[in-house]
Formats: sequence, structure tokens, C-alpha cells
Amino acid sequence: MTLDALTQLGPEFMLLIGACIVLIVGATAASQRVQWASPVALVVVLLAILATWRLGVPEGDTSIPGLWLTPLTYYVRWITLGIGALVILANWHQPSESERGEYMAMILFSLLGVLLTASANDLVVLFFTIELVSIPTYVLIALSRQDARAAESSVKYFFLGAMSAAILAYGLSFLYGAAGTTTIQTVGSGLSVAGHVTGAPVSSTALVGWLLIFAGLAFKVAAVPLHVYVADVYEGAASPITGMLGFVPKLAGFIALIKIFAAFDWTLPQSVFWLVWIVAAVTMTVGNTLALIQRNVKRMLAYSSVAHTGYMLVALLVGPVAGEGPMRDGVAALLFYVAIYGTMNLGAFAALTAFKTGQRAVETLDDIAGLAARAPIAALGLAVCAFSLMGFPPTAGFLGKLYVFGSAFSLGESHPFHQAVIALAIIGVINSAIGAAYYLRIVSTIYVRAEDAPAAPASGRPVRWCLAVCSIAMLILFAWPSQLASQARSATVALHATPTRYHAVSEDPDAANDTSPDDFDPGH
Amino acid sequence: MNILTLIVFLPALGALLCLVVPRPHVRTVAVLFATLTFLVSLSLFGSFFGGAENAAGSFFGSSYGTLHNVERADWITGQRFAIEYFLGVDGLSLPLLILTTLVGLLACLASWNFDQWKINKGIRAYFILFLLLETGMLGVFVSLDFFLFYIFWEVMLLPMYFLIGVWGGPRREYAAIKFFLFTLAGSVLMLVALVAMYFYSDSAINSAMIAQGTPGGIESGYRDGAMLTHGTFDLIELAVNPAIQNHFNAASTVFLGIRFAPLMFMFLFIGFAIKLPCVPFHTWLPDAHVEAPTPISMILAGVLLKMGGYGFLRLCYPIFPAGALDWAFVLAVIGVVSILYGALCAMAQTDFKKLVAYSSVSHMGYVLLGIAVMTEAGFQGAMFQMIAHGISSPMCFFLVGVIYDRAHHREINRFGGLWLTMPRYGTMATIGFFASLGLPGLCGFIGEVWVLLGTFAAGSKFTWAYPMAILAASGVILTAGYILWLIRRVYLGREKEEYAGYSDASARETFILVPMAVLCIALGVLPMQTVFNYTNGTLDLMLQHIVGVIGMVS
Amino acid sequence: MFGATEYLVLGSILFALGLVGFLTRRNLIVIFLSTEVMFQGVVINAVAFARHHEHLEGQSFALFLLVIAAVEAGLALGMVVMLYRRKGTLDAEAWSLMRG
Repeated sequence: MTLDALTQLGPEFMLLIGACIVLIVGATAASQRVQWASPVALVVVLLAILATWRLGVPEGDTSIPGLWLTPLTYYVRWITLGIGALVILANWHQPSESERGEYMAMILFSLLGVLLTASANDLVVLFFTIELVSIPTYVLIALSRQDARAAESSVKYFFLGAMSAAILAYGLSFLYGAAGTTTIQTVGSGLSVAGHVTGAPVSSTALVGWLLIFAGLAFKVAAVPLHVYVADVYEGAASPITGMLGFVPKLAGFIALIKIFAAFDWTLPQSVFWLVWIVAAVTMTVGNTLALIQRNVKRMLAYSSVAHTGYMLVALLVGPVAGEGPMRDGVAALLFYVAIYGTMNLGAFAALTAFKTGQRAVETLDDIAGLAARAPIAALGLAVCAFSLMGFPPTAGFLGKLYVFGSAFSLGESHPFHQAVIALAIIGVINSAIGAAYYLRIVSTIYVRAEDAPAAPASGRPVRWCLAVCSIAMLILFAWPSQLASQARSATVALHATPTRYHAVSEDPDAANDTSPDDFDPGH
Repeated sequence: MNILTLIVFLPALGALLCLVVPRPHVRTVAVLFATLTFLVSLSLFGSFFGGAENAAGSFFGSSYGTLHNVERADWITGQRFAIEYFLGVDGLSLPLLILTTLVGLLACLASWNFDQWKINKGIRAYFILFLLLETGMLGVFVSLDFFLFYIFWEVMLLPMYFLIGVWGGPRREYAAIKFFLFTLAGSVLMLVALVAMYFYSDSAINSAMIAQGTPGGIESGYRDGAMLTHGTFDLIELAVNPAIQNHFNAASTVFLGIRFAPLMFMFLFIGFAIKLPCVPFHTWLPDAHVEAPTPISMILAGVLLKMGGYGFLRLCYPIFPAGALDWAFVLAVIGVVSILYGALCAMAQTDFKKLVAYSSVSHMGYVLLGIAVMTEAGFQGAMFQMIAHGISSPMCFFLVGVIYDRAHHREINRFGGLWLTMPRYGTMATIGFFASLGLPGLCGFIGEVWVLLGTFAAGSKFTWAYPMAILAASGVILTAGYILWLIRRVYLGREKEEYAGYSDASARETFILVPMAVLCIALGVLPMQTVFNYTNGTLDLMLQHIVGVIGMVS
Repeated sequence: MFGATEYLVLGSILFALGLVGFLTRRNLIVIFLSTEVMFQGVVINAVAFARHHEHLEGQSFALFLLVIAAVEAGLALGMVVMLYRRKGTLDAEAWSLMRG
């Protein structure tokens, strides 16, 4: 490992050093200097973005032990840092001044965890980075406001998180045991060397490992049945940090899932396919149904976050298709969707923050009734984000859904799970129509319901900027999605470069029709 | 810039301008842009009369898929995936396009007295949404890429939702949400069809490339020199490309174990049927109409309902003829039930606006019946009925609005003798309602008769056609019943004291009513010159195509 | 001498005990100790596999696991103190402000 290799980690080092500086300054300096915590954190993230841009796309660099820098790293750096900057804007004035240094440092640490998750090439590193994402979020919730509910939700989240971490670690240890190596790149071949030749059923040890890992990560991405904490945690935490909770752990969890699925080469027994299928179907249905009966907007968005996990699981199940865009490649669709989801979800919570009057947080539907008249711009921003969450054109949320469900339809007719995956996509489409009902209730309450709340909202400028950027991004990404989509596409190329058993890339357009992967086929 | 792009985005440009002009001038800008859009759309008639030879003949071309003012550009592209910005008009879309710009202009004029409305806040937002709605509607009628079509279809929902939800009557929230969710439920099915059709056409083209041994792609079904290498969203290509058509309509092509063509036909049909609306899906319509402000009701009845019929003719029938054949009986039944049920409901109403709303359900039933029987007269009649209803129903809604502005209620039984109080208004009302009734010499008559003729003509194909025709014809009697009864209760009889001081239709109101009244008469007297000459060529060619495909696959 | 299986069984027993404790106990400190027991089960698992494969990757895995467990312990104690200050009890049932 040379210094040159370490410069490849420029963005990560920026975040690490920046987080330490903010933390130390916040802990020691007088309160007027703590005012600088938020701007410094923002500058750190912007510098990291600059570094990402200067470094360009890494081409599968493994010179740093435990890490593997791929186009996936590059894509995740972009979306994490981009949305991370918006998270900092949304949280600009949120924490009390004495705690602002710690608070911003925790955000930076959590972002750092996501970047490293994307590069992790070792099961141990993967576990470590997932924890690096999660642990700061427990602190963030507790610090986000002086409310007993924040403390309660922080503790709930922490204890369940600790349990899920143990389950994840247990699963990783089994996977290590089955493969005889902790290097993710070689886990696949390790499984083969250990007597599981290509296509043969994986050993029961590996399967137990897979199940436990899936359970542990299901908690991070908030999939049913490990979603129970979501509503309480979202309700307890302050709105701006809730916007981050919907994105950062979900992204890290899905990256880890992608890596684990890739290690198994998407070649898992039929029973596993059906398990994920059922989890996906139940996750979106339960999420939408529970969201429908909520009166608290934050709880509603919490359950909607569960539902969106369900949609993303559909794309995960479809898996990668070499050399294809997000319309056919499930993983590219997933990566595209998660970026869109992070932005629109953050936008919705930023809007709730922007509606805040005085010290009173805006949470229930009654709180937002008729706000369009008093905060027209913020209301418009929330409407855009709500329509995007609904998956309604002309917003990027629509394209996200189109890519995810399109990828499910693209499995060739000869594929063994062709019908099952399409059925799942149809369940997803129906679910997104059910989801429309409660997003529309939010919009309706703002615009149609008569106003009765007294004061005009008075919130800081940064959160308004955050909301503006989120909602405008939703419109712009609808009109020009190609850049993000092609980046998402090249991010999955790394998966195909793993020395494992990927589906042959067909260059021949004639044969391209049915090159669909024989994923999950136990018999080949 | 292409003229269609100009027409579609001119209102949007007006909306942008509304954002910046001073508040008192917002409505002027809106009317100006609506007028401009109307005038520019009229220039499309040049396509008919421009040539020295038989312009109309060349306009329709020799097969379905002859387009004019085409504009194509790539929009979202990816690996083996392209969504195009593809606009064009033919005999199916052109009359509806002009109807939209006309009704848009008249409805914009009807919004002129915005300041006197009960809810008169946010004039700027109102006209911006209004103009965006017009852009959405125009976009639906001219886009020929399914994806683009879908986008416009959905986008148009948003302004409509806000226009009903914010400026509507007392139950506006309920009505707006109901309208939105009903339409969304339909478009969800349409989305499934959209994605499925893309991948099935992809698979069809790939198989054809292998079968023909042409790795460079297969020839387009209607564009000279164009090659297809992957699936397409092109609505014309999906309809006329033999490879795609064979794959779509073959009995062996299945989707989730169900035959592809009938299933996709049904998915699309439900989406459009909700919009049309026909009977099991119609319940949003009376609510939306009753709550919507008058100009929005005019748009809703005049243009939005036509999108359902347009969707049948543009998507369901040419792309899935096999499905059309399978479902013909069901569709005809739905059509007849809509005619009768809508008329009976209208008869039972005491709310003026609700009555007109239910009469729309009844009239749209003729459209569905005419299309379902798949005969020349049926198609022509359905199309004519759409245009005729697009003129007479906004007129009826405006007539209701005029009296509502004065009386502030819509109870039919409380009115009476209005013709004596407001003679000019009474005369116009008689023309409008008689046109809606289908009095010979007025526009409603031709459409209904053509549909009935078409249904009888289908007797050779379908054994059920005669009974359907007889039932549908009895709908005419019901229509006459409720309209005559309505006219008697509202306009005839002794002058009532509480309405004695009402002013007659103002200059603005007359200005809105006269063009519609003139068109009601013109369409009734000169159906060839006003509608059929512009539509029938395309409709006949489309029918030939449909019949050809049905003959091929069965 | 024992084979890998015996150690794996021991690890799974610890893990299961921890999980049961986590789900059934009401005192926050005991709940947290249960997650620590789960982690120790994982550590035994990792070391057992390292011995089975005769290399050190599992050993390092175990060391890193201990680090994470320590971090979580620090955080847990902080939270327990915070909660105790607010309510004066560590009964998990006392914390149920949010429902629905």
C-alpha cells in the first residue's frame, strides 16, 4: 500500500478529517465558534465531492487491503455526498448550539460509513462500515431535539440495531466459514472451492449465513418483518434527521445486500428466491397499508419508507444484466431508485422542517392544514416531493418506479421465474396506486383544507435551500435522467467483473433477446 | 419550430408569463395565449386545403399511419431503449386538437369573472394551472410515443386535481381526490401495459431479426428506411408493424398465462373507460362536475372525456385487434348500459349540473357502442359524437354556470320561466339542450344515428348487434324525456318573482355561447363539411387495418 | 480435542441465549447485556471457523467484533444514563410514548 493508493481514498479522508475537526472544535470551543459547525461540515462535504470529481472513476483498484474501488464506489460517492450536503442544509439549525459540533460530526461519520460500504471488499470491513453508518444515527436521533420521544426512539433504534448487528455478524461469520475467506471478491470462488461447483446448491452453512445476513440487513433497509421500529423512530426523531434516516441506512443496507447477492452470483436456491419474493411483496403491501391509516405525517412517511424498500427489493431480486441500462438491469434500477428516493424523502422532511412555527414541530395532518396559503413555496416543494414519492410524472420518482418495474418485466419469457417476477412487479404497481392515496392526502391537506393555524412558518434559510434543491432536482431528473441512469448502469459493471460466475454478456443483438440471466436456477 | 410543439407549449409559455405579469393582467395574458393557441391550431387546416389536387385524399394517405406535421427527437435513451419526443396528427387527432383549443379558449373566457367567484383567491395560480392543463390535454392528442402520451395523460391530472380541489364547491376535497384516484387506478393498469408492450415488442423484433437473418434490424412498418433493432413505444409502429402485430395478437403469446392481446386490451380499456367514463367506472364524474367551477366543468366534459374515446381508437383497437374482437360483446353491453343508466340517472336528478353530468355518461355510451361494433358507420359515429358532445356539453355546463352565477343555487325545481326573464339566454339554452337531446338538424343527432346505423350494420358479424341497437335507440327516448322535462321546469312556465330582476346574458356570456350554438347547428346541418371530411379517411383506414389483422390471426 | 462443530454449537447456544434474553427481559441493562452475549456467540463462531480453515482471518474478525461490541457498550451506557435521568427507571415498559 503506497501513499498513491491512499490518495484514491481522498473523499473518505476528507470526511474523516473534517468530522474529527468538527467534533473536536465542537467539544472544546466557546459557543459562538460552534456556529461554524454547520458551514464547516458543508464545506467538508463539498470538498469531498470535489475530490470525487477530481479522482474520476476508479477501475477496480484493490491496492488497499480490504477495499475494492470500483465504479460502484464512484456512483455511491456522488449520491451520498450530494444528498449528504442537502442533509447538512436541512439540519443547519436543528441541534441545540452546544451540541452542534458533535451532531455535524456524526452526520459526516455516517456518510463516511456509506462511502466505505460501497468500497468494502472484506466481510469484516463490510460489517465495520455498516456499523459506522448506524452508530452515529443512534446518537443523531438522541441529539436531534430535547424531547422525551427523541430519547425513546433513539434507544429503541439502538437496541434493535445492536441486535440486528449481532445477527448480521453471526451471518457473516457463517459465510466466512463456508467460503474459507473473508474477501468478498473471492467468497464466490471460495464457496466453489469448498466443494460447491458452479451452479450446484450452496452448502447449508453458506445458506444459514445468507439467511442471517439478509435478516440483519432487512433491519437496516426496513423490510418486513423487521420494520416495526420505523414508525416510532421516525416520529421521535426531529424531521430533518428523519430525512437522513430514510436514506443513509437504506443505501448502506442495499449496497451490502448487492455485495452479498453478488458473492452468491445471484445463484441461490429456489426457496431463497421465494423468501425474498414474499418479503418484497409483504413489505410494500404492509408499508402502504399501514401508511394509509396514519394521521401523523412522519409516521405516514415512515411506513412509506417501508413500502419503498419493497419496491427496491423487486429490483434486487431481478439482479444485474450485463451491459444493460436500468430498464433491464435490476441493480442499476435499484441504485437509480435509491438516489431518487433519498432526495425526495429528504425533501418531504425538509418541507416539514420548513413549516415549523416557533418551537412547535409540524407532525400531524392537522398541523399542515391550509399551509399552502401561508408558505406557498414550501408547500409547492412538498407537493413536488409528494408526487415524486407517489411515482407521478413529471417527477423523477416516476422514472425510478418505471426503471424498477421495467427491469422486472425485462426477464425473458424463458426465465424460470419470469412470471413470478412480473407478478411481483404488478403487485408493486398496484401498491404504488394505493400509496398515491396517502401522499395525495398530504397534498390535499396542504392545499384544499381550510387553514386554521395562526402564525406563518419561520424557519431558517438553509432548510429552504435544501427543499428547493430536492424538489427542483426531482423535476430536472425527470427531464434529463440519462446521466444518472448511465452512471447507475456503469456502477453495476463492477459486479460483472468479479471473478465469479456471471451471465455471459452477449454482444450479438440477435441473441440479445433472451440473454436474460438464469438467476436462482437451482438446476443448472 | 414544429407547429405542433408550438401549439402544445404555447399555453405553457402563457403560464410562465402569468407568473410574472401584474395581477390584474393575468387573465388577459391567459385569454391571449388561449386565443393564440386556437388560431395557430386552426392553421393546421392548411394541411387539408393546401395542395392543388385532392388535398383531403393525400391527407389520409393509403394506409393507417399517415401522419402530418411530424416531429421526432430522442428524449430518454439508454441501452437498447429509446423514448422519443414524437408528435404528429392525423384524422383522428386533428379534430380533437382543434376542439381542445376551442373549448380551452371559451373556458378561459368563462373564467374572466374570476374575481366574483366564491373562492377568488389565487387568480395567478388558477390561470397558470388552467394553461398547464391545456398543454397537458393538447399533448395527449398529439403525442404518438406511448411513453410521452402517458406522461401527458398523467401530467394533465395534476392541474385538474388542484383546479377542482382549490376552487371547487363545498365537497371539493372529496371530489378532487376521487377524480385523481380513479384516474390513477386506471393509469396504473396502463403503466403495466406500457412496460409489457415495450418488452413484448422487443421480443417480437428480436425474433423477427433472427427469422429474417437481418442483424441490422427489421424494417419499420410505416416509415421508409427506418430500421427497428429493439422494442418501441411508437404507437403507430406498434399498430402497423407486421412482426409486432403478429406477436401481440397471436394466440400463443401469453402474459402471466393469459393471452396477451385480450389482457392488454382490457388493461388499456379500463384506463380509458374510467376517463370516458362508462358505467361501472363513472362515479367520479358527477362529483367532479358538481364541485368543479364552471370553466373546469366545460373542460372536463368537453375535452377530458374525449381522451377516453381517443385512447380506445388510438391504442386499444389498432394495436390489439384480437382483443377487440374478444371483448366486443362486453364492450357493447357496457356501452348500452351506460346509455340507459346514464339517462335514467339524469332523469332522477334535481341538481342542474348533476343532470348534465349524467347526460354525459349517457352520451359517451354511444361512443363506446359505436367503437365496440367495429363498423365504418360505428367508428365514424363515435368520432362525430365525441366532437358533437365536445361542443354541446360545455355549452350546457356554461348555461348552468350562467344561471348559477345569478341564483347561487342549482335546484331545477326552484327555477321556472327563465326564458321570459332572460330571452337571449333562453334561446341559447334551447339550442344547447336540444343539441344534447339529439334533435335532427343539431349536432347530437348525427352521432347517435351513425352509431345506431353502425350497430345495425354489425348484425352480419355479431348476433347480438340488433338487440343492442334497439336498446340503444330506446336511450334516445329517455334522453328526450329528461331534456324536455328539464326545459319545461327551468325555462318555460310563468315568470318567477325571485328571478324577475335577473339581467340577460351579458356580452361576454353571449360571446361564449354564440360560437357553440353556431357549431351545434353547423355540425347538425353540414356533418360532412364540418367533421366527417376530416375524420373518416383515417377511421376507415384504421378499420381496414383492424379487420385485416383479425382476419390474419383468426 | 474438539472439532469445529462443537464450537459452532457452543456459539449458537450463546447466540440463542442472548436472543432469548433480548426478547424477554425488561431491564435495559440486561437487554443490552443480552446483545453482548449474542456478540460473544459470534466471536466463538469466527474463531472456530478460523481454526477449521487454519488461518487467521477469523481471529481478526473476532478482534474487530470485540471493538464494535465495546463501541456499542459505550453508547449503551450513555443512553442508559440519559434515560435514567429522565424517568428514574430502566424498565423498558416505561417507555412507550408513541403508539399507532
